[in-house]
Amino acid sequence: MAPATARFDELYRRFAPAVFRRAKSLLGGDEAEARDVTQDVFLGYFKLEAKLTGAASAFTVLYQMATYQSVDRLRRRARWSGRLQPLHHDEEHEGPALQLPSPEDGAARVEATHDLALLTKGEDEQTLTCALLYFAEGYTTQEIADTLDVSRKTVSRALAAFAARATKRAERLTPKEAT
Amino acid sequence: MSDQRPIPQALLERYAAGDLSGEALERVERALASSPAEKARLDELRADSAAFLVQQPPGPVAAKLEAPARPRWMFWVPLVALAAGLLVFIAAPPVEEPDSSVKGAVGLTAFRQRADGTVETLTRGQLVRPGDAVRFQVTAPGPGFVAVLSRDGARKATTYHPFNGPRAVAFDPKQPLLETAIALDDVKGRETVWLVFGQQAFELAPLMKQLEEGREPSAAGLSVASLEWMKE
Repeated sequence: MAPATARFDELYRRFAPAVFRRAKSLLGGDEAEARDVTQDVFLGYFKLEAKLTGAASAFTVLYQMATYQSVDRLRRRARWSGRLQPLHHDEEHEGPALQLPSPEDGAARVEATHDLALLTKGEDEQTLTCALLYFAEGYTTQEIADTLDVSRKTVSRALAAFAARATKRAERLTPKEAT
Repeated sequence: MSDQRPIPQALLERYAAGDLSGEALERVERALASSPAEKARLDELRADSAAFLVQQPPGPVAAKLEAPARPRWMFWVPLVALAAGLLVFIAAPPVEEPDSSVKGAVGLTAFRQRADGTVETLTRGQLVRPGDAVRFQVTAPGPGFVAVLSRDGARKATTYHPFNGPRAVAFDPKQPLLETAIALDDVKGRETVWLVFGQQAFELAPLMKQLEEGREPSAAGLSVASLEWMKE
């Protein structure tokens, strides 16, 4: 086995199941599309691996890529519902600022994910992943920091900046009341 | 995370992949140690990962990495050839020196992928169809050398792994799923498949002769497991 193939094989066996599950959960359980995302993520990762600085682990990079590509697909298939969750991030607050319905309420979480898909257009992979984990999936800033190999302060800064941008974007996107 | 709060899915994934360290690792391990429910989540995640890798092995994706300009359908051309009884050899397992002793039994499991993409574990005597893709998983007591041999309904003997190879190839128990995939040909009837395992490398010609004579493969120092299916 060639060295590149051997490394691909090792990373795939170790991380592809997690990438697939991440994509599947964001894509509403669509396994076929999640498989496509998994494949695209791994091929994309190996194309850019030489440019990576090594600051983040392979898991972190792959997880963010899976999140980004899944949300991008959601965005492409989305139809504007006219309903946006209010976004606010309190830097001093330990838990999620936006309390979504319980984790069992899958429909509400899908709705929130769709909202975030629209609001995160143009954001980088790390910011998008932070926003999704925090606003749609209820992670604390510490849990996001642990997941993405960054400091809690970095997460808070990214969320605060994102919330400010998203608020302006939401104002533009929210449909006016029919008169 | 507090004791009451479930381990976030992403952190559990990272833990399952062996990628957590430091305080985050300690927090997850504390939560797992104190909660059977969290431990069950982890077990379920690992089982799901194993199933995923059976259904979506790295070989086809790696092939695209090696030949990015090749059109997508080109990868499947060899599978057309397999309908005539040939075999795709994706990659050989890494070579590793065998242990000095063998304890425990050997086992062979076959997974069938149907045309619609679904995967199932084959049970002894199960009906299969020409064109079904099959992969093998080996259970062995340690590193060694393996071969997968077959005798089909026309009593023809074939070496499935390594395909048409003259001798057994190295086996790493950490990678029990063999990289070789076969597509079943159109020879109908009962087909028996044998896994042959040994601590030392061994030649396959004497074993193939036994199969052609209607006997089972057997030699000193070798362990054998078998399965069979009916092709209709």
